Amino acid sequence: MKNGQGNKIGKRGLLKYLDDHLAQLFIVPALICLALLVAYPALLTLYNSMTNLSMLTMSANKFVGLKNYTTVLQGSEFWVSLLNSLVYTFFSILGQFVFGFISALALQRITKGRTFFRTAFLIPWTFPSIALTFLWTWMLDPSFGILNFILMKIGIISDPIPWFSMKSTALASVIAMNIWFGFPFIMLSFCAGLQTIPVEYYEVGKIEGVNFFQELRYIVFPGLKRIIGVLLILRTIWVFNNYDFIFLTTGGGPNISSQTVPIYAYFTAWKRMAMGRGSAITILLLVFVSLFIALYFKLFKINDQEADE
Amino acid sequence: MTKSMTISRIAGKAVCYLVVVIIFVVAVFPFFHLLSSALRPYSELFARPPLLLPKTFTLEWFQKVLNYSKFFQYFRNSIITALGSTLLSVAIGCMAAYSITRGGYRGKNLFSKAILVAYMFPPIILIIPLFQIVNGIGLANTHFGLILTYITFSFPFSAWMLVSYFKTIPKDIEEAAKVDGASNLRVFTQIILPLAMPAVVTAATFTFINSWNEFLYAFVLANSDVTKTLPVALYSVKGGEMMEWGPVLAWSAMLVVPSLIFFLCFSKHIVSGLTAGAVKG
Repeated sequence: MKNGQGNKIGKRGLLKYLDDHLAQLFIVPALICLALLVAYPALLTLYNSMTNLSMLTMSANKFVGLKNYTTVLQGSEFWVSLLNSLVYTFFSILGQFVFGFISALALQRITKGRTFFRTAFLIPWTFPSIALTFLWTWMLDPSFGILNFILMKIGIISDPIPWFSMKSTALASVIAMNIWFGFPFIMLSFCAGLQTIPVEYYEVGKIEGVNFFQELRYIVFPGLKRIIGVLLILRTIWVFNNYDFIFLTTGGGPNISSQTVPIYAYFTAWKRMAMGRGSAITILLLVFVSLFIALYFKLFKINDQEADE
Repeated sequence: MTKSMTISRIAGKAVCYLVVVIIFVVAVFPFFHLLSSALRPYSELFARPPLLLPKTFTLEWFQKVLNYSKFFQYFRNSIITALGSTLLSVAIGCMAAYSITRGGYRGKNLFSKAILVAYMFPPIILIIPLFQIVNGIGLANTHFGLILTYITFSFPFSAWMLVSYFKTIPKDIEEAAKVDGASNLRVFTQIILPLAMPAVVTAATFTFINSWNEFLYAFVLANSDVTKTLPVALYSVKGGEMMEWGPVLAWSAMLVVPSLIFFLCFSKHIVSGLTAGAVKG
């Protein structure tokens, strides 16, 4: 009897204790996910990158030290891929920002149909990568594609161009597709950012008689600085990590002319069966991405959760 | 002076409308072309020069896709994987968001940073080890195995989306309830969650769409018909020498529809969630 009562109190005490520490308790599932599905796999990759792990001999792998890294870094394929990655990322982001910014600015200044147009502009961004890439492959088809036809009609080109399978146009075509796909998100963010700029600033500008470019320089850009910074870093990471778009359109080709680092890693690990070397490539990719993650943390103090309020 | 100013203002506005219309055409035309191509018969699909608009409409390609013997199995796989990863990620995300916004313990900053890092992690780096892990624990070619890998990107995403919303929920109500003797768990389930419902629904929707659209993990990890999702199945349809453009375009159009509807409905909430709370408003 007494014992049972004690147990009950103990139980209630335990529940009370758990409830008092609910916040700590609630990180447990997330911690398990982070540990088992992100941290552990990342460490496993680091380990794999120092073995001769292969698709064919999944378990029988030998420790080879830094050999994979030296092989990768000494070959030219890595550097070509890295250069392609940089070109792909830089021009995709540049295009997305230019179009996103122009759209947001134009939308802000029109009065009729603003919501309609803003919603319509979002359409490219709703495309799953598989539908996006197939649609563009279809539009750019040299025999039946509508784009070659339109470009020939306006007189920009005289013969159909196999955009995705020509060395000189492959990467540029994927970039064009990526700009089309990604500009709506930038636009949406800029629309939100433009709303935070007080109307009085524009009014003062008008009284001072500033022209359009002065307005951009002294009112709009300073107001969007933070958003531009956040977007620039996040988008860079996403586009740099992106794999689907190139894999599904050019496949990195012709030859390796449009192959980026993620594609190189994939082919090395899964097509050439050299998973150890493939892992080393992904670690090198992570090193590069880490620079941007670090920059993000340095510029935006996200750890001050309360500071915003 | 005033006259020239009005003229330049009108001209400026006209330029804006022109820009909007041009971007509208560029943004919408490919989508329109996808639908109009998927709805035209074979002869018009491969007409030269290509037709801007179909002369006759047909649903034959859509019918053909729906008649694939395994289409509904792939559809089911996609639904199960997307729903499973959504439920798990949002549940874990809600708990993590509560912990980050309401907890006061050491290591909290580290924890929230770790989630953000996971959010930016290159998926390609995780593929080989996830493949090993999923195979190692006997979950190869199961829905749950694929769901687990989807959690790597969907849980950090929903957690961040929820954190930025949880922050905006005023704490007075919670404190009042606590004064009345309500437990933390009660406050969480009966005050915070109901108030956060719009954000929870939005996060769930986005997680669902992200999983629905996902290609890379499914491509590497779901090789059998038991787990293959719609995008991967579409990829294998494309294979072979000649692209079967009719079914491929119809299938692509069908894949776009869910995300199109959801994104257009939730466009307002996209920004704050995706930029990890760094964009206000």
